[in-house]
Amino acid sequence: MDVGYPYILAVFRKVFNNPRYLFLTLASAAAVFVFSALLPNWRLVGAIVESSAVGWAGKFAIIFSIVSSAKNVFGVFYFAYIILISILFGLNLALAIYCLKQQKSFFKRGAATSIFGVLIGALGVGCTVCGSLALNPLIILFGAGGAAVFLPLGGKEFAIAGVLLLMLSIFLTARRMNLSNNTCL
Amino acid sequence: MDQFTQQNNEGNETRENHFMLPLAIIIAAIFISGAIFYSRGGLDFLKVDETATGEKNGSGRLINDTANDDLEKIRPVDSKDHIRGNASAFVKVVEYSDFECPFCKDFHSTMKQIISEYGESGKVAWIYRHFPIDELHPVKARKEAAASECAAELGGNDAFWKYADRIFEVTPSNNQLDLSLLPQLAQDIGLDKTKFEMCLESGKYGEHIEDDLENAVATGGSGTPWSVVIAPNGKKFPISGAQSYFTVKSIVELALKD
Repeated sequence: MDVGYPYILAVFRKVFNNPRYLFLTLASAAAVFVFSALLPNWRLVGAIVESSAVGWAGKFAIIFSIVSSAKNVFGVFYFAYIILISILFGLNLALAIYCLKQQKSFFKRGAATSIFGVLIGALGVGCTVCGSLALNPLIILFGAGGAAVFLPLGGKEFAIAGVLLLMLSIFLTARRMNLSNNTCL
Repeated sequence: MDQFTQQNNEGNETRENHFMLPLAIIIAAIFISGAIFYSRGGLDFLKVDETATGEKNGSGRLINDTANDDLEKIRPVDSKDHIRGNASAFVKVVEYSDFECPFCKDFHSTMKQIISEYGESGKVAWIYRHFPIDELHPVKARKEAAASECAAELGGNDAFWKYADRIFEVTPSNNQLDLSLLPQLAQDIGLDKTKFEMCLESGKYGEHIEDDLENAVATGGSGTPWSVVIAPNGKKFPISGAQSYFTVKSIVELALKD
């Protein structure tokens, strides 16, 4: 089976011509973006939600403002990274769910790869302040902020690794799809 | 390949798939759990402060254990702090900052706006403490912090704030300020240049800056600017990063009403 880039593009056209998967991609990407933007200030968000001094409309306005300030919190590089990782995560999730729905059996060969690909994608989600959410143990090993000292790109390696992992997962998932008989191998 | 082998292969394949999926989920869960565990301080997170008081559950652990809350470790605001506005203001914004941090530079402007709106009426006071990020701004961040302390020593609280404003005005940020400018900045705001240089060379404020840094980390700060808005009732709102004027204003309003 030809699994070159034209094939991958054909898979994308097949999957995302269905509005449901396009919506799933956008919704999950938005969710990941909002989560990432709020992560450095999760305690503040908690304090705002708990406060009885303002109504829910006011609370949402403040939380929306925190999300909008993400560029000031992360800087240009990590802000762009969060947008990219959110989109890749959404694509990965939509492809994995499409693939799973084509399986006759949930445990058919390859299902674990799809799920693992989506979950590994979480490695890339993080922030410049706290590092990658799931790669934090590595950062702790080097000491607070220590990763930036030892790494040539000052910690951006984690961001690049996250993007590459998600792209790999998307590629592997798309490659497993058989367009001729609408199955995932 | 005979029928037995084919059946055996299919059986092996199915058993392998049954393990793969839950294994994948478990491995990912371990990664994420580990991240959350270590980001909360590892084993320290599980320790109970023996001096803490409060209601305890059946196994002796504190419920609503505010004594172990990082934010409660914030050093109380006192006369030694650099305060802009009324020291007795209802709401206090304690900012831990780094003079070479570009986000701190933005946030400095935001806080000046806040103080211009809430400072004179005594509603908000702004307290500046040092949080030099040595990994990103080696040498210069601490030197500039010491320079600001020398400005305070020679000219008082007003001189400190004028000097801080000047540093943020002239620095290109990201560890690019020419340190030889520091005495000139002191002279610009009317301080004795020679005395300033002697103070800076003495290194006497190293311990004070380190104390501020340790307090920033103890309260949960991991980057700059790191701010804690303290409401009149003691409730604390931690702000990470250079949040917008609208966000800070909204938090201040929340704190005033709380």
